[in-house]
Amino acid sequence: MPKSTDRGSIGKTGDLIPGTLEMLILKAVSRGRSHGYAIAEWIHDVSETLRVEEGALYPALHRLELKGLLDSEWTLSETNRRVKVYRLTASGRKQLTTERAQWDRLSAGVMRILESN
Amino acid sequence: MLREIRYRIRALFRRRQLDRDLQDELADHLARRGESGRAPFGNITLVQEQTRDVWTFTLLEDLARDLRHALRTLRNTPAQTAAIVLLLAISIGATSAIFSVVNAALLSELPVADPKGLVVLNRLLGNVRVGAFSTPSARELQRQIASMELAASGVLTNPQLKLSADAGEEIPELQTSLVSGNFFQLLGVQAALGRVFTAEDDRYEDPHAVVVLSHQFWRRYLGADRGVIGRQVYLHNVPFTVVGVMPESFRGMGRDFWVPLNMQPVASGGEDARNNTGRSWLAMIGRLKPGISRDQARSELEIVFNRVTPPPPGQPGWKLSVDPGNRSFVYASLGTQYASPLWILMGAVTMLLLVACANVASILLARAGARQQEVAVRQAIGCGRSRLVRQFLTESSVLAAGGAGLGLLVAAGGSQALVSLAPPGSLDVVYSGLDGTVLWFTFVVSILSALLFGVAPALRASRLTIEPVLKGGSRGNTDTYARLWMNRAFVVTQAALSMILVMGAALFAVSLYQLYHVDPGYSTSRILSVPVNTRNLGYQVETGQYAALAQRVVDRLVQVPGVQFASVSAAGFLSQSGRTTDVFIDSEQGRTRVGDVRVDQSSRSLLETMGIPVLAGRAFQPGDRAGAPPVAIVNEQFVRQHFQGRNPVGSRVWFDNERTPAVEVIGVAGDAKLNDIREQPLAIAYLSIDQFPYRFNFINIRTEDAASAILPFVGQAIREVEPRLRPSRIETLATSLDRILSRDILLARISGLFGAMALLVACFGVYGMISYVVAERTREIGIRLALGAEPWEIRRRMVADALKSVVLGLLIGIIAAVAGEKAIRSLLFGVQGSNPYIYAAVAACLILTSASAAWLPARRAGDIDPAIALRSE
Repeated sequence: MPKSTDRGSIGKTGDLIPGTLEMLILKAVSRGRSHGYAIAEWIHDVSETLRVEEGALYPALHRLELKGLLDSEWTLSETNRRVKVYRLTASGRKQLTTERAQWDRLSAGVMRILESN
Repeated sequence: MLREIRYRIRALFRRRQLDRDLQDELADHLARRGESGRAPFGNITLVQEQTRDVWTFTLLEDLARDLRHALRTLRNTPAQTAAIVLLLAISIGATSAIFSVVNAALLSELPVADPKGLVVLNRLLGNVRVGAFSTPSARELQRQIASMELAASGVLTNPQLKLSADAGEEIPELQTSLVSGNFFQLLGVQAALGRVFTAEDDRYEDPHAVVVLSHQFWRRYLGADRGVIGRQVYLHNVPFTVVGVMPESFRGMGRDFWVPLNMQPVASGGEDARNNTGRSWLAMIGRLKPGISRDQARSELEIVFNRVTPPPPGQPGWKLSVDPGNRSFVYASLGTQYASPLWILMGAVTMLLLVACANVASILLARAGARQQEVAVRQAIGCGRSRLVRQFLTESSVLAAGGAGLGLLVAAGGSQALVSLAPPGSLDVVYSGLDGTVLWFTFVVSILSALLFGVAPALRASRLTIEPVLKGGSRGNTDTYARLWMNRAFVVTQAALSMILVMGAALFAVSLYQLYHVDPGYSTSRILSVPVNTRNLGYQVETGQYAALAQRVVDRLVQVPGVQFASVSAAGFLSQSGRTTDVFIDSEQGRTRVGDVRVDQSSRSLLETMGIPVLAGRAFQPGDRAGAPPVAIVNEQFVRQHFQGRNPVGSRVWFDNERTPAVEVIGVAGDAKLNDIREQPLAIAYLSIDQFPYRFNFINIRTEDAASAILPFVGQAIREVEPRLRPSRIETLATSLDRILSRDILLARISGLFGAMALLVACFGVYGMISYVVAERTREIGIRLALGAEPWEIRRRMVADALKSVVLGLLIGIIAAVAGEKAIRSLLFGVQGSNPYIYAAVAACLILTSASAAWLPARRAGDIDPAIALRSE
């Protein structure tokens, strides 16, 4: 039986640097409780380019929950569907700050290289 | 990290709930996506799987799946599975049983503080260590030795102990240890209840009547009463105060209860042996003072001991040794003689386990052959080899686990049986049942055996080329040959190990046979030997009171119907008791000491009772009474040793010292085994108790025929004459012989059991191998038969095929047995470990049994119907 997935790598978005998706998700959730679809849509709307595939989104959400960076609860939608909504935990907020700082350093560095002659 | 593992393990059990949640979550996503007018996403199942993988514990999940699959597979062949589990249960259980005793007796250290610091003193007599000291010499060593602190401890069997003062029930078969006041402190152990002894309790002048109980005694006879401290128990009718109860873990240094050493006169029922230099019975343990080596302690010990106990004139000084005392076995009075038998049994049972593993391996191999189809299918749909191996190993582990579980029951029963085969005072002192160590051992052994019998079949089964199997052409391919080759290797292994085991069993059996066929010089089955307690009668030896009592006992006993002769004696036959003394004889150089001889002061009728013939001169006569000229009868060995074969009748000898009155030798008796059936003939002089007053310890009775019928009447008659004689047992000398030979009986029985089991298992191995060969070659055999081969020729080839492997195994086994024969040499009697006839007999037996095991499937091979065989392919 072959391994059915490549767990651990962020996945199928391709455009994204590994690890970035999780940061984006944390950022999205930091604005308030939201469900998976809303997170993907928000990322797409704000970025105007990034489309998060479901095959990457849900594993990432569950992984973040497993690590204790996200919390989840079940609510009911207007049409009475069960909806799982995610919320940032304290350690999730801390993680977001760290990743944000790392990202800033990284992108600044990358920019400096690209803009040098 | 921890949180993750916890979460994942929880996920294992909430699997269904989590799956439903995920489904709902994705359904919601899908719905919203639909509402927003975008196309539904591609593969929802794939997303589901990828997400689920985040929280599933693949390893555990696989394991659980493997386990389920293994159980299902094993359930499909219930008979075979049961047979394997049973075989493993017996062999793992037997291994654990022997190990539990080996561990208790030989491996685990004494339950005391700093056991490694303990030493035990031994006298060296040639190569033999004797760890027994007389009370006075023990006392002097304790006082004079500066390099170590010493404590003494001695065992008394059958003390008379009652729990109440009145004529209450006496607890039978007890063992007490008499210990010096510093014994418990030296060991560094505390009582579980109350206190241990102090030096105060063990003053020479005023010892305290106190007793410390063992945990098992307390539980068994006092119902584990926590209020027991301060109550009285009665030792030979003297009240003793219970001051302490030892913890359950305190084993190996005394069995039932402890009494201060200076209470010895009471504990042994009257006789004060505290100044008796002739009775060596105390073990001496010690702790070295800081900075002192064992060697330094030994040199001091030798100097002091030789000063305290001067060697006989003309003999070199005593040699002593200071040995490690951290194992309990050195203190069990009979323990040491069980050390090497236990190791041998441990080796034997390990071999038995290996035989079982080889056998199970070949069964699994054949099974794997039958499951080629399944394996091929699983491989074809992408199951990796490591995954397959894991699956097969899981099955092996399930089998081993089942075997180990049942095996623990076998071990519990087996170890008790083993302990009860050994006489009291040996294994029972140290053994306390299966403990944590044994559980661990069983666990490890089961894992090891699962690997042993599982790995080869698993590797073999998973290495298979898929296409031919799926196409149905499974016969005659390379896999089959490789499997056959492996199967042969297993049969060779089984045959070799069985050869060693059966060989060992045969040697011990022959040895035991020889021991039982040694002529002791008297008939063992018709003589009753009755040890009696004459110490507490308050008689004086010199006044002839004992002689008078002896006469009354003998007169009464001969009136019991069925009793032919009766006599009393100081020493018992086959009881490891007896007295030796110096003997002097007139020679050309004058009156000289010729050495030690055993003397037995007994009734005049002793030789008649025992049936020991008088070969020259005369027997004792009624005239040889007190006051008449003293006479003695000596045995043949005495004549050989001290008279160089001359006729001694009429010669004079002196016992003890040359100033005692001369004793005339009136007769020569036949040689007889005194202590042990193995002993070389000992020189002995028989004296009459009337002329040489002495306290007798045994009553000997010759019965007309089977002794067992009159046992109760004998006891009754003795009690009628003197109730205080308290015969502790009435048994035939045949029973005494059984007890003396209990170690040999134990070895012969258990090694016989192991040998028989190995042989049986090996036969199944041969049977299985040939069955497999026949099954694999059905078509080939069919063709041969169709072409005109004779059925008997086919059968002969099959049996020959089996014997090839067996004989190869036997050769390996014989080489190993010859090389290992040294290990058991010292335990054999009257048979050489290299006796070629026994090898030949055992090999013939193995060849014969395996040929018959091969014959059953071989006969089937000859019965194959060519038409059916060819059509079935």
